[in-house]
Amino acid sequence: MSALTSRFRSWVRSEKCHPFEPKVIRGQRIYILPTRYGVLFGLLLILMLIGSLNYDNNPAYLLTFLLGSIAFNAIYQTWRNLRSVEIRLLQSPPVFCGEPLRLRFQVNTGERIEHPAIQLQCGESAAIDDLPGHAQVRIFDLYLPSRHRGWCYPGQVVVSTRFPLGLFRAWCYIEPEEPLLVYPAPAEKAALDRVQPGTSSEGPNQDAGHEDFFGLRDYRSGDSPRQIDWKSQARERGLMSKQFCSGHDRPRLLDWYQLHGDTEARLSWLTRALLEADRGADAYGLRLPGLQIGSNRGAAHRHACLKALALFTEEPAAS
Amino acid sequence: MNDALAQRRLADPVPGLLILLLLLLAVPHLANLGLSIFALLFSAAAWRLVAIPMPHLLPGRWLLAVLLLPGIGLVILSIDLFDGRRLGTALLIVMLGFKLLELKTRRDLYVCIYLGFFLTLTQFLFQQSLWLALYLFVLNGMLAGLMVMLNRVQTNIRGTLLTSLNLWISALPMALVLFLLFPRLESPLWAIEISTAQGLSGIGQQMKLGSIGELTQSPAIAFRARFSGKAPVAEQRYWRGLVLWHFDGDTWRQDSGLSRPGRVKVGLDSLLAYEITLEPSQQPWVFALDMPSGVPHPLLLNDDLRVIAPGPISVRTRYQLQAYTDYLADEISPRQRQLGLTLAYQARHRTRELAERWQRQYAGDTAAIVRAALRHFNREAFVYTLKPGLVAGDPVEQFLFETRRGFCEHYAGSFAVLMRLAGIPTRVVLGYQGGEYNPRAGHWVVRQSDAHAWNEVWMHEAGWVRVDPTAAVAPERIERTIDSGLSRESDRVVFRITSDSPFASLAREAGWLRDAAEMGWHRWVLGFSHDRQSSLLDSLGLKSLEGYGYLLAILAAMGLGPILAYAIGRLRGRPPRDPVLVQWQKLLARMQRRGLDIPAWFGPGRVLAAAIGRWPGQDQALREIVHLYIQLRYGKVRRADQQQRLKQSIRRLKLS
Repeated sequence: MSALTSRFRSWVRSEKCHPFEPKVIRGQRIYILPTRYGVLFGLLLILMLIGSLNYDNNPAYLLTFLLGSIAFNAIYQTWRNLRSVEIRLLQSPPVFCGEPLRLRFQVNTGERIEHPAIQLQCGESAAIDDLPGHAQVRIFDLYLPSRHRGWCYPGQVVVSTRFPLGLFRAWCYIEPEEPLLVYPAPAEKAALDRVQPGTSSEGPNQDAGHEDFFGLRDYRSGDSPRQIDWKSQARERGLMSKQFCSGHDRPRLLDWYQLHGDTEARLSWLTRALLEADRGADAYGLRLPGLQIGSNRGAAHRHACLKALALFTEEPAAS
Repeated sequence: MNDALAQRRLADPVPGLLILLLLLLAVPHLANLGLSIFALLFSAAAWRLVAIPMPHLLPGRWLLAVLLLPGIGLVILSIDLFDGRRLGTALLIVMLGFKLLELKTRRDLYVCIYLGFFLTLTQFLFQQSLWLALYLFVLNGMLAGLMVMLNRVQTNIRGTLLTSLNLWISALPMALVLFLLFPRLESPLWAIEISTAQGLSGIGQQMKLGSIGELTQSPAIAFRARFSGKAPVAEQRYWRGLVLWHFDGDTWRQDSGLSRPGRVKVGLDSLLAYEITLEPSQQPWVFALDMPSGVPHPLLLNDDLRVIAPGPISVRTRYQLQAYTDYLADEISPRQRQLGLTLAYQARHRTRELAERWQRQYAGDTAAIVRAALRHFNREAFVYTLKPGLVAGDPVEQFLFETRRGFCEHYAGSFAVLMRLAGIPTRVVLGYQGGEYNPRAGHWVVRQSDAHAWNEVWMHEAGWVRVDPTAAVAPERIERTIDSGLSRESDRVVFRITSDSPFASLAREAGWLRDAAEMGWHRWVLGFSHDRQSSLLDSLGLKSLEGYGYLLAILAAMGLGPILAYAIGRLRGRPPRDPVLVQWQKLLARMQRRGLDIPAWFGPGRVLAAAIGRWPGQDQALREIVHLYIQLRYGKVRRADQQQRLKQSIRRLKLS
């Protein structure tokens, strides 16, 4: 992106948009400029006009003016195609740092006519689809790189269209106001074994398959198909096998102070440990400088812990 | 700013469609360029089409570069390099052929579509007929439709068609205003020199016996005329072309000495203004209505009152002329008198005797002699026919006393010989007589089959007077047109009879419509010159506005486009209404009519509760209806039988 473009971007007004709140694109917020095909078409028209003038040929004039009028009308039609498109940002699930952050939009138009080729773009990621009109919705997914843990502001999303002729591009900006949460990247599984603080749990009982779910491990040949975790396969994490063990409810505390090394490494380790603990049957708690989350289980608890890790800032003398 | 569509694969039918459209666009150029250029284009297109299922067959960059040389060579060898139009067009077609071979990305498609638009323009430099233009405009519409298709994500033929139609229709007003207002060059003729290859029939330089008979077999249009006021009656519709003086026994010729400008003659009635559109004839004759009174600038009115164009008429040309149908042409120069009495051949005995007898009998009374001659043609057994038969010896004598079968040139020619022998200055006028009115276009169509020859005799005080000896033999000729097809077969000339059968009248109507369309195209598109533009602006009152007026009109037209586009968009289909919802709303309306208050924010549950409260007896039925409604409207699957049941339950529900 050139310096000029970024200056323009900071100058323009973008529509602030909150999750689940429909944003209808208004006509006066739409910018429109010719595309390079449009510029080329302009050159073609000039050439055709010169030809018509040179030969003073009336049918040639007529053709030139018809094509010119079509191109001119395309300005309106392109603008019209973007106007009254309704965009709704859906809730984005938090991701671990390094995983693509998904921005999901539900787009539709309440008008009777269709609005083809609406494009949503954020950074390098773009999605395009035809809106059928009559309030039928289409889902647009944009994927952003998550570069660091914590709050991630996706920035401006460009809503654009080149329909009908591709000669003009109409666009406007919307800006998701709420940031997205990025959890710290979990450490390698191997790191878990190297530094195993606190109470150590028993190793997984590899043969017993009838007790409580313990966790996942890489598939080994010979594992029963019933043991395979198909959901992991669907998530493209490779073939995993479920492991079970006869667990006792043993509360675990994931403790910052039992770790050494730099902040990010500790957070990363804690994340991994938390995930492992969450897979187990045990309740777990989290202790960070200045923050303690009591022992518990469940999705909300997991999210609260991961959020605390994601937003952790090391303040001296906070503990 | 990247274009997500550009990263998608091109929809399969698009390249094939584009190639087909471009070939169809190029085909009319077959008449203008050599076959070899087309062989190149078609082989390139075939290659590309084969490569659609087998992309590995497409030539690489290097092969293309190598192939380009013979391609350019072909153009140089087959095209005259000094003909800029042909050279440019040939290069364009070769370029298009090579571009087709590297048609891969979206950008290539756009370039090919643009080349197609430009190719259309080059067609108009060669030919401008209405039918070609219609064909090309339709193809261009499809090219634009292809652009629309390229800019959609899913291929949707109906949507593409609707969008392109909307684009074209809303573009029309602005295009028309631009066309009418765009400043035109100030040139007397509207068109460039277009060489028409077709053989032209028409009146030539002279009149040989039998030449007009041949001409009348052609139904081709000679010219069209549009009168601003009332059209003259049939016996006044004489369109004079050539005036012939010299006769050598076989052929009548013009006199080259009589080329000084003629003078405006005295008219006895009001001036008749009309507009004449001549078909190309490669001759300079302008067929003006008898009698022309002065002519506009490039034309020339000669001493013997014929109108001459500055050069051969090679393209359809329009002139504004004026005429007096009742006139006094009372000037005769000594040379005209001398020419009008001279016979360059020795007339035979019987002819001479007949003329001298009249001269003696009427003692120099010109009018009486003319009447006697016409009576002679009328009383004796003369036959008006396209098949006079072969004659040996002097054709005039043979015609007058032996065969007595002939066409208008025989009558006019021998009449002139007789009059000259009787001492009356006489000339032969060659042109057209009559014409058919096209009610669809409001103009008169004069065909080659209306070609006619007549005479003008000099009378004291009356001046040059038109005399048509053919009318004495076949008075129908003046009122009706000759049926050229039937006359060829028949012994006598057959006149066209207006048939009343529905098929014939339908065919006639179609013919007139076609003629009207062609003429409209010529009048409003091809012939739209600087002069016509000025007069149009004048009549619209835009002359005084000049610069601002132009601007305002163009801006207004520009505004019209979006308004039209908006209106068309609104017209396009109502949303499909959910039949379940329709049933539900009907029920709610019914309940409200019965006095139950249902606020808009009530969901089905609240409605049910309210309804049961009001009609406790219908508890069961109401429950079932609401249950069904919730199932159908919010459930995952919608079953047709449930839908049917909902409808029935609502109908059966009794609300007192």
